[in-house]
Amino acid sequence: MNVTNSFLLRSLKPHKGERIRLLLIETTRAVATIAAAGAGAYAMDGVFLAHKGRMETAPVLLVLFLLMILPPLLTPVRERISQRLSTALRTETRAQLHAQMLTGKAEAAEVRRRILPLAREETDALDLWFSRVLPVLLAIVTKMPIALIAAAIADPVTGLFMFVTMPIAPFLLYLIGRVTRVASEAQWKRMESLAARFGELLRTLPALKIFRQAEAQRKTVEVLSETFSASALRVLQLSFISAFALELITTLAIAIIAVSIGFRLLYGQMDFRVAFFVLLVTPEFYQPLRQAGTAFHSAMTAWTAESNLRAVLSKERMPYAIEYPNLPPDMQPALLEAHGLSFHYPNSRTYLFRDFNLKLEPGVTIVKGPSGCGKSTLIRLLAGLLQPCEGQVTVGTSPLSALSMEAVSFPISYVPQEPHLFAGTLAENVTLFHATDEADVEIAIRHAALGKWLDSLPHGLAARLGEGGQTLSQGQRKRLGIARALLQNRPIVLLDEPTAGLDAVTQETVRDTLFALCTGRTALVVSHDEAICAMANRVIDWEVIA
Amino acid sequence: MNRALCAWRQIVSLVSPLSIVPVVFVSLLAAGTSIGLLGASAWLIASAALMPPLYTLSLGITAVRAFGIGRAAFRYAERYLSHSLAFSGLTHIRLHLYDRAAALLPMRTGLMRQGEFLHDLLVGADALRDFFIRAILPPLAVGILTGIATVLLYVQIGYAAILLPLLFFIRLIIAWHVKTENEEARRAEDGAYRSALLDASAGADELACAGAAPAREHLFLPARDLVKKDEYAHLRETQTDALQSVFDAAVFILLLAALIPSIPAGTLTGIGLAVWFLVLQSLLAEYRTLPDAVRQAQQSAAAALRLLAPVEYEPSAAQAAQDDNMMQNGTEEPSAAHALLTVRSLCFSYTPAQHLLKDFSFSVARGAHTAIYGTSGAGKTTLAQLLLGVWKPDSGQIMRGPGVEIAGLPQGSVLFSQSIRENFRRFRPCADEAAIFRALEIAQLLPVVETMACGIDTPIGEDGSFLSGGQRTRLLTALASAGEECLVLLDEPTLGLDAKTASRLTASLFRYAKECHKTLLVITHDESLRDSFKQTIHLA
Repeated sequence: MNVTNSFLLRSLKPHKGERIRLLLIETTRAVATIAAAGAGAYAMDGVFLAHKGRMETAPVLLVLFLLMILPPLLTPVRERISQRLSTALRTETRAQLHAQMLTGKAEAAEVRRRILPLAREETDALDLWFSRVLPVLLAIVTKMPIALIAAAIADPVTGLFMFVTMPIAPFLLYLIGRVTRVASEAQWKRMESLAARFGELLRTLPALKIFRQAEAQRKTVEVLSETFSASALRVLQLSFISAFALELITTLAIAIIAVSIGFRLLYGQMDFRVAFFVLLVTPEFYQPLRQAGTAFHSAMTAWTAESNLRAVLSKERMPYAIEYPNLPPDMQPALLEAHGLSFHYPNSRTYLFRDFNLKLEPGVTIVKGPSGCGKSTLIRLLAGLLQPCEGQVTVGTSPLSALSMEAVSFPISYVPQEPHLFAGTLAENVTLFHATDEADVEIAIRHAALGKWLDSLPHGLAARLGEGGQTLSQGQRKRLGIARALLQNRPIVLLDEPTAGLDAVTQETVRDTLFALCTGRTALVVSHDEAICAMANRVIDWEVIA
Repeated sequence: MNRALCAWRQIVSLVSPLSIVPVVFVSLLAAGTSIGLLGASAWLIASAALMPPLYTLSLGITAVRAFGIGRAAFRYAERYLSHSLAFSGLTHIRLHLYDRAAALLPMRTGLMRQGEFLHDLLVGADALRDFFIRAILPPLAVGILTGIATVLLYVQIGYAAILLPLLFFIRLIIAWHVKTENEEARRAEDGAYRSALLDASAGADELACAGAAPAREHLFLPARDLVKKDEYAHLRETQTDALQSVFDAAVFILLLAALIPSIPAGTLTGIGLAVWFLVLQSLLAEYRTLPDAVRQAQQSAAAALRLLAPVEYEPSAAQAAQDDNMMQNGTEEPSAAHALLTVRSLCFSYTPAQHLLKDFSFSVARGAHTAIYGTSGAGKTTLAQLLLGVWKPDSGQIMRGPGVEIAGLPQGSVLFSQSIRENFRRFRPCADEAAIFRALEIAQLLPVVETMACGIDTPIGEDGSFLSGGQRTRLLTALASAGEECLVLLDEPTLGLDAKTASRLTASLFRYAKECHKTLLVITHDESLRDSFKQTIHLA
């Protein structure tokens, strides 16, 4: 763990004002705590040795009360500042994850796959830096020195003792950490893999049930769980040792100081008020050290989450919303070319194609062939949604990788085999959340032969689609995809199986809308629909080219 | 509250009550020595201030040292014992959750819900496990110490001592109410964000290509709402904690003020007052653990309500796979008697008005290899699941001939990550080494296995993610064909295969069917297979 490079310190760095305010608040809290110890000692001294009554002590008790409530009342103020930083960090992390998920970059696939744990648990774990680690760090830099100074002024011997014991704790922790690190890391890995295997067993349950093995695998659950518990206890035993060491140091130090001042009182070298004050300050001095154990644990959790997030977030900060310059009109390209493309998925060594070349000119090109052999992959490569292992895709004269999908002038529309229905209004589903004139949206819908359906919807363009909303048939869904492309109105369109899975009548309607879309553009359609092949300028057989 | 009590009783029933006693005892000693250390120190110092002979102090000195060491030792013992208690309950909890999942999976409501259910299950297991350590022990130990302190205070100051238990309960009640509100609101925000994430992730390609800036904006709103809710909840908690600390201080001062007149009255010495000062202060410091304990108690109760309640069987969904009787042995009609499998007027839909499968009928005779064609979305995998008994049909019948067993894995079945061997071991425990290789040969996987680093022991990634689509499909085929069942159902066996491998696979499957007297039932969209089958059925 490298704290200096952690998200915690990185989010504190640019906020000097917040840093100063946090330190001021903590210093005030620490001074109030020490002052309360002073007031407490004064009150006790008065009652005990000067035999003061309740009424005489009352003012001191009132001061003590005020000093006691000041630190807790300041906590929310401190938390408001640190939570603002935490919120900013988590919001930014999530925005980065969203951005990363919605690109065609190589890392996007991993982010999409694990988006739920990444954006929920892992991002939330970052809050531990602020809610658990930061208060202890602040106490170490403010409360400990202030308590030390106060104790040293009251009783130099105690001050010296505290000063000497201060570094023992980190040193001892370091020693124990060194000894136990290898063992506990191995156990951690083991625990993680055992937990993962329990999760896997649950996910495979539907398949296990088909083979009637669900009952038999209960034994596996038992074994996994018992091994897990044993490993976990071993890890905990190790971490309890460090907790024990910290605890022992602090309690022994309190005991030694108590006995030492007791003796000096006995021999008249000290007066009671000072002694009682020192006794009250001592636990306050050691408290941050005692909390360091749990804070360290939280820091490890936050650090692990942070490392997982770092692994998928790209090094350079993704621009949140940048207007890209439009391409100049003469660059408006309509020529899409693949030069020597090779591709295999990261987890597989089998190439789907090697040294693949293709030149798409204005007009409709059909690629036909059996499904499941890489045609959809090719389309996603040509759309810039996958990155080739070798070779490149060019649009006109510029490489596709140099064009930004964020730009209004991005030349390619992509219609997947099953256009996704987003939870949102019909209009949002056509515009894909872009702000567009409603009239244009309606025209696109009507051109995609969804006009009748639109008229039948009571809420029209505002009808809700997606989970719990309006349902669409297969054919309507395909036409929705075409409506999206029509609205985007880009020179190149790539369509994946636009008529697959439809009955003859629906196929006919979709084909008509397809004509409307492809006219005047460069279109690549993956299909084995004979009627579509008939309208094409060029038909390519996949088995020949791949 | 009542529901929570019920839930807690269920969690408590997971471990034997006797095993809790030593943990509570040690926990009490740990908290007690902590208070005792400061109390004894106060006694020592106050006594020393009166400059008595040295020997009168020796008891105090010994007590301070003993409490100092005892505090650390008991804390260690408390941690160790409570954690081993928690982990001993874990196996119980996990078995319970496994049974629950076995009864409810797969879910008809879809993969998304299923994923959430499993996530809930895993998180819930931890919440249940931590119930003892985090929710029960701290309030119990602090409560007992409060009781002892109250009795001792009562002797000194009479009814004013009631302030202490009053504070204890007020703190519990306040913490309970703050947390309940927050927990529900957060679940709602979290649900909204989760849906938005899954939605965007499923349509990510289209959004990316269209220019994703507005979609990011769209995702940003639920993300911000969730964080804002967290921030609000956290700040409310700290505010309530601050308020409670003010109560603590007030009670402390009031009790101190109530104790002071006892000194002139002679019922309390100055030394006693010094001891009370530190004892009360350190007891109240222990009160600060209460809000976290209440939070854990609520989380555990919520988890118990979700996970430990007896499983309500959805009659049409869950029971089917375990209930073999639904596959009636059809003998009523002569035609059905000869058939391995007869399907009559099968209807099924996931949502009420969907009509995915409508009045679908066919039958398969012995040796009559059958292909069922359908395009994507026509309900192919659903049909496979119905035939395999994963779900019960909404109406209609699926009848198997006497003694007929059916084997198969629908597309999308999850695989074990460890290795190919692991998958056979778990799904097909009866298959020996030779049977495994035979199945791999049938499925045309042997050439693939030969290129793998450790053969069939090579890790294949989470849900087979290191395999290509075609390799994955073939592994499903191999698993389906590795048993004794006379009817082998294959869901899209040529998906992701190139034409050459696909035709080799089909040939090999027919050869295998002939040799082993099996009947193949293939569900596919691949029309090129059409000519090879004796019977073809179109799934519209």
